[in-house]
Amino acid sequence: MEPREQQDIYESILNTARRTSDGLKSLADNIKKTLEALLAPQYERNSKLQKLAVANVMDPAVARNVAGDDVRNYVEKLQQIHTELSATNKEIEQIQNRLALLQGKTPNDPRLKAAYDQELKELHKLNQDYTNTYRLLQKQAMILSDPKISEKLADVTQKSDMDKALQGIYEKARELKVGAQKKVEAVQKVEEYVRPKLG
Amino acid sequence: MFERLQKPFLTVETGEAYQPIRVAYDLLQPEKLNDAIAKLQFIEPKDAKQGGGWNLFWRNECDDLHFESLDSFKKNPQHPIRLGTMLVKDKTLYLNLPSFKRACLLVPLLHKLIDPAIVKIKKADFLNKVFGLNERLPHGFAELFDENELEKIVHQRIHDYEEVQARCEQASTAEEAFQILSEYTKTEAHKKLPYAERYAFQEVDGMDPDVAYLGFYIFLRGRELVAIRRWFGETGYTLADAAEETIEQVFGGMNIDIIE
Repeated sequence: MEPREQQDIYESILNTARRTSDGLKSLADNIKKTLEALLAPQYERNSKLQKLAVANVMDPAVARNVAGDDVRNYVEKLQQIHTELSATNKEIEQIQNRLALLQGKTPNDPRLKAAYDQELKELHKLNQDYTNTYRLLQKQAMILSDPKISEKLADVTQKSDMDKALQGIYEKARELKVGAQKKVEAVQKVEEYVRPKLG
Repeated sequence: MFERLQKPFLTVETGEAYQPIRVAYDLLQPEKLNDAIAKLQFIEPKDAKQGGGWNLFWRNECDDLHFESLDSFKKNPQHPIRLGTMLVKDKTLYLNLPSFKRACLLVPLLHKLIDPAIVKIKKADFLNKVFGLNERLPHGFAELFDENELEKIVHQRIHDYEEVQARCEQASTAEEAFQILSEYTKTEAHKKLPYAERYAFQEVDGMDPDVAYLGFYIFLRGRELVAIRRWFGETGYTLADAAEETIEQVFGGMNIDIIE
């Protein structure tokens, strides 16, 4: 066989292999995309159910309509924590806005810049803790939205789990409130320090 | 107000269903493992108090991983999500993950990042169910998986397959062999899935990891679909239904006719 013919055959084999490999890759991608597409509506459905469950339990009218005292107490406690957490979240947002405003006013002061950066970092941590606590609250709200929750809470272990979970969230919400309050005071001090300078 | 017919199932931070899975690797060169892992920035050693091992975070080398099931989640670079953990026990490296999706994304990635001459993927044990929100969650994998039971299921499957293979080889025509194979696939796909199951990996040397691990992907995500559809009340939904829907969409989309 001529070297030229050998070269042609070799290239032809390589091309076929490349096409087969590309074809396999494309098939693999298609299968993955299809499975994702089949799963997507199920996840959307689950997400809607989760949101609906939380919204239902957080509705103040719910506590009044819940039949059992046990469940009503839990729902009321959950709503109370939710109210406190929402207030803390608003406070965190306000602190963030006030810090951004201060940062814009004195951009060239390195000492102040370091202080703002530190405050922002701590605020970020506070915000993260808030998000985690809110997730825990959502989870308990979803559990309480179960139509058979009264029967489930008749079980001592389930009741004890619910007590512990709500108490834990309550304490975390308190800590967050205190943390946010401390941040308000810190920002206030910086504002008082900056104000005469801007005078 | 509490009247609802359906309940949501438990999801992890990245949005997918909580379905614990443990992937096992044979340690071929244990002395090189620590160095290989130390080069990877998304893997961090755990505190000794936590029993050793490593945490795998969603950052650096695995920052590009994409979760379709994610719903309005914002990544925080200062507090990256922990995707899973790794642990060495009895000459085996275990990768522990809370969802099938994470396993499907991380297994091909680790294949690319850790030299297969150091660790060789062997098997994955998992549960064929999704969890309710207040369902008691398992404490560790040892509680979930019975080694004997899992091995029994795998051996039974291999035995059934070998029996079908022998029948196919003895068939008088290709059509008859195809009929035997088709019946076997149909029966398998309609079977009730076991509570816990094992996936045994094939040799993947030299193959593109995305193609090589496609079987693993289909095996897991198909089962995830079955578990979720059943959770939402379609108790008769089987792997056969999932396969049918997938094939129809894949080959329909590629304009290829499937002959029955």
